[in-house]
Amino acid sequence: MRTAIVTAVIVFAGCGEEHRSITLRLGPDDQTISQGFKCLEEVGATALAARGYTATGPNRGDFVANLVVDFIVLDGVPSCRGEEILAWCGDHACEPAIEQVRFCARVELLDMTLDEIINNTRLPEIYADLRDAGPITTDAPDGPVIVRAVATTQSCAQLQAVGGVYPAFDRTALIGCAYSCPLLLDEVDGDVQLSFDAIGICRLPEVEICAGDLNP
Amino acid sequence: VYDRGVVRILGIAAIAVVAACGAARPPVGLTVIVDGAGADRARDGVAHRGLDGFVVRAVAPPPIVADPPDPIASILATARAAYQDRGDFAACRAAVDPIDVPSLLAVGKREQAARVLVWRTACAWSGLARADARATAALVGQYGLDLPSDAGAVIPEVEAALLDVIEKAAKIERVPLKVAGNSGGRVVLDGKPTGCTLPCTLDVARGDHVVAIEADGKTPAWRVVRAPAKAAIEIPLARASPAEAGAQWRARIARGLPAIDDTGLELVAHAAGDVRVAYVDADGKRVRGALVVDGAVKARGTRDDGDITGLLGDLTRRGGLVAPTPLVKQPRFWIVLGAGVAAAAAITALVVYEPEIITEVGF
Repeated sequence: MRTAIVTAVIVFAGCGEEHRSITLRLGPDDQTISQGFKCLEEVGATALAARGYTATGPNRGDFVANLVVDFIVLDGVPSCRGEEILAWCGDHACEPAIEQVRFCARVELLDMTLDEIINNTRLPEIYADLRDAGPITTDAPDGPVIVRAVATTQSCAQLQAVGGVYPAFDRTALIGCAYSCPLLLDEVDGDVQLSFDAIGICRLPEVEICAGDLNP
Repeated sequence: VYDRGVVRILGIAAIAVVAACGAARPPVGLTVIVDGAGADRARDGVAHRGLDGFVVRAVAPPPIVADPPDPIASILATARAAYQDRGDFAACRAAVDPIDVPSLLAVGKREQAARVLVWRTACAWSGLARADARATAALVGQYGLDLPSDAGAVIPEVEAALLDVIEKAAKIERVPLKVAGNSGGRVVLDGKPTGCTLPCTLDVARGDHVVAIEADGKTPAWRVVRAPAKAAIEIPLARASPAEAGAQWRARIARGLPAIDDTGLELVAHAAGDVRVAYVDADGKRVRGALVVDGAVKARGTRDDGDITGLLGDLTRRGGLVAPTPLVKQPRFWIVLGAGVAAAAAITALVVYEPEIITEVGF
């Protein structure tokens, strides 16, 4: 009897928490960055990524941006199609879960060409910078969420919550955005890939919708 | 409708309360016979502590009763002295003639009966009452008695006559004698156990015989019967007195029979003179006992903890004298129920339990 009680206590104590780990990918795999980070200005052919790029020499320069990751709370589970997500968030309050500190990491790529971002050649360095910033969260929300990453030239300090509300992203500072399918992070087994629904060339307004909590 | 419903509910509640509480039963008497090595102290303990619901009377088992003084031996000594020392055969006959020989045979005193008959024969012979002497001598053979040592003290003619009747008795025609009566009664013929129990048929010499019946719990009875008889002999037995029952219980133990088999318990309970009797053997740490109600053994029990009061509680419960403790009032019930509920809760918790998942998200 005593043995059974001790065993039960040990089992309960040991099973009190189950720890899992999810790796976030900024594209369909760890070698590719999402289309959402390759969008162009509203008009013209300039990539939004150029907003974080500072030329340092002929055809060379430094790229500096901040990547903000949010968990958009859905209050339900829409399908993964872009149109349906937008429709859902048009009818529901899709708002970022308020964390104590919003994940915001500086990405700094020195001595590069702008095409290198487009061509994914500097992706390992981006991931290295992001990993150095620590985990996005140590305890993901329990309910259904969309994981969204926004690249911006705004500072991290500017983007932290004030009075329990995150400030809106500045459209003039936006560089890119991507998001995941609606999911329950506690039930995810493996990586979470971010993507961006766009047929053809994507431009600033679409990025703005993504950064605007997916509410058109 | 509302009033009728209220009345019905109140009625059911009242019945439930009465049923649950029950009318308190007045205490009833219980005689507890405490036997064994530690009987005296145990008896005091039982009397002091008592037993819920009973007026307990703690008593000792029936005592061993000493045999009363036997007058026959002195009468025979008187007769012998009159015969041998003074030749006063009238005094001799006056001494031995009143003795009822069949009653001696009925209680198994065959040697005394034989001695009485020898002296009665000798005194009658020497007193010139030869016919009486021959008739008396014939009884020695009729009852199948052995010649006692006293026969050597009488004149040779008498001794020869006695030997002659014994010899002739062996040649008397044998006839069946049917004896009926209480089943299990033991038959004693001419003071000699026959080994048969009723109903049975004896093979006896033609003529008069003393047939006695003994049975546990009954007063022994006897009759002189003449064989052959037209019908079965039946001797009704009366219920033994408590003193007789106690003596029979002691006699059984003396014969090596168990003290507390069913018959022994019925005897000892009858000896106690109560309707409800518990017998407890407090011999050492282990106590054992039985309960007899209205002459029938109702329960037996043993405890290794030496708790006589506990044993009496067990016996009275099992014997139906007290209602068993309701389940809800037994601590064991609540312990088992609690354990069951705890086990069910634990199993349910194990089945439905889902640990909290802590998911870390990073690059």
